[in-house]
Amino acid sequence: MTSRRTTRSLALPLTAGVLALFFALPLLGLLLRAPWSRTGSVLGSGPVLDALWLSLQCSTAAAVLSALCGLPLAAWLAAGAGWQRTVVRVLVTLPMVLPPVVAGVALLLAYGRGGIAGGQLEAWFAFSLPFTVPGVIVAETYVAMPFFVLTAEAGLRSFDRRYAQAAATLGASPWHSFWLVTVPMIAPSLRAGIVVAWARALGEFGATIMFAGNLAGHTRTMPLAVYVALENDTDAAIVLSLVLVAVSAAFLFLLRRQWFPVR
Amino acid sequence: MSLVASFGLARGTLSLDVELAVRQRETLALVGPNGAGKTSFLLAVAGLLPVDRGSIRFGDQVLDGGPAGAFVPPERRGVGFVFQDHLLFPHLTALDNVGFGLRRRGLPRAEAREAARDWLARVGLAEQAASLPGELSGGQAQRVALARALALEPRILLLDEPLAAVDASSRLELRRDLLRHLHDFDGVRILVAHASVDAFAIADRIAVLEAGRIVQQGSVADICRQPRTRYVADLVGLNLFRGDAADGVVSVDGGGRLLVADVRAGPVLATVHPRSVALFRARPDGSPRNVFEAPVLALEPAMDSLRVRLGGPLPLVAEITPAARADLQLAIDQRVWVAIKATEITVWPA
Repeated sequence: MTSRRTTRSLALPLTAGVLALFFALPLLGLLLRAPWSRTGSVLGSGPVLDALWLSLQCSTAAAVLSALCGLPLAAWLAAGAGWQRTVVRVLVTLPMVLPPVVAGVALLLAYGRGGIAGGQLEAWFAFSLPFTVPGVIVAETYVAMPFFVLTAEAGLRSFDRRYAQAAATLGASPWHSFWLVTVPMIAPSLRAGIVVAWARALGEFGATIMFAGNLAGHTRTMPLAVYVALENDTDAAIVLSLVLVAVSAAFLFLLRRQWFPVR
Repeated sequence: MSLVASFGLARGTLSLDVELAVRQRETLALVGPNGAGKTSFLLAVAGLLPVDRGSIRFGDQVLDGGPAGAFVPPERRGVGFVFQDHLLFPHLTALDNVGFGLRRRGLPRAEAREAARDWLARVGLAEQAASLPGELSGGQAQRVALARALALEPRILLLDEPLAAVDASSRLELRRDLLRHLHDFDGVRILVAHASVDAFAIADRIAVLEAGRIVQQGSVADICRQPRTRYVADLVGLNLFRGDAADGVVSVDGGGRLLVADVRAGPVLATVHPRSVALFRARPDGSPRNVFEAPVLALEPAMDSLRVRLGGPLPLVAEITPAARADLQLAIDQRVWVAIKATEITVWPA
């Protein structure tokens, strides 16, 4: 009995330890192999700064777009049940499980030149999305918004609607009640949703490269730059990767309250 | 101007069918067991639960005319609602909670704050203006919720178990203050109460709601004197029996007979005060007309007495002194002799 209990009590910490190693080693690899002496020169080069700046801009734009369009969508999804909502929820969730490369191909066929909607877009506005900065933002939004919508919907569903009723008895229209009571009260969910969407957009690779291409100084985001650098300059790839790790870690730190329960 | 609610609605297992009128400056207490539909009634009056049939009117105005009729949305009804768990907005200070409705009404921020400060002072919470709801005690939150509702000067004030989420120590003071604020309020006041003491202390009139129907309404004195259902009898602490009377004998529904000093015939209600139920170890001699044996089901200590719950064909509660308990050597399941004088039984038509 005692020995079995000991085995059982050791099993969980052991598993946790092995898995911790599994997740820590890749990070350690980056840190150990980092060419610290060259860091400055790699980071200071124009193309790297361009890629970093583009990445930050586009992922932020994608996160903002996800929130602006995703909040009404989440509100509608959370407001009831029914097959219409199920269909929409499946459509919105699809990009989360779709291989990003496939998402990129699909985007190209829909909004690319000669695509279902892309052709009309070009005919009417002489404007085409693929291989442009707006194209990067669209690709990133496509894969990032589902994360925001699902997080926001979960927040809205757990919201005690009686607070909205209380607001109504105090003379608040549904619109005021939503913005002045509901949104502030589910702010933690919305914040978490924005950050997850932003992180997903920042790391976006497959859909971006298919839909927006990999034009240096134009649509080449950080993940693409890492990929390109890996082919001819491993040191530069490692430095760029570390920059992405640092940026992501910083946001994880900002979100620590939401994800890591404080004792 | 009075509120006339005559409507039906069904939600889940609840089917509510009520007819109730409340006059201006009158406080109606709605009492009843859990799940009777008390809160649903308030929600319907506030416009948070539309009625399925019938209507809710205030004066000449139709607030809810049923599915095909007019419907005034909650934000335009002029109904103040104090929710049971207060529902103060947790992200706003006490001051901004009270000012919330004033702002929605278009008052500039500074004026709304000033008026809100005034209301907080009236409920004795001037000091807590900057506190968030999470930092307030149950009693303080209740006062803020009351101030928040009253600040809009509603026509109808609804209070859902206003003293339920308040600890016992501040209850008395809170009830006194609530009574004062209700007195100062000019509109219609409806209060849902679970604990009878609150209802009886605050209300002008009591309506008893059971399983979605009003089973009895009247003044506090009426209700106490003549409870018409077991729930009401329990509420006011009386033993109640329903039965048929003939020749000074009430044949109680469900078995048992009571000899009474009343010549009425036909369906009746009979009540006995627990203090009029005497208990003995052996069969008593003498004049009591109703003498029978019954098992002790439970012993419940009350304030300065002991309530003895008795089984048998006539379920009764007897109230005795602690000294009597020692004399009787009462224990659960023990059988005792019960005696009730016929003159102690009040009978009136059912």
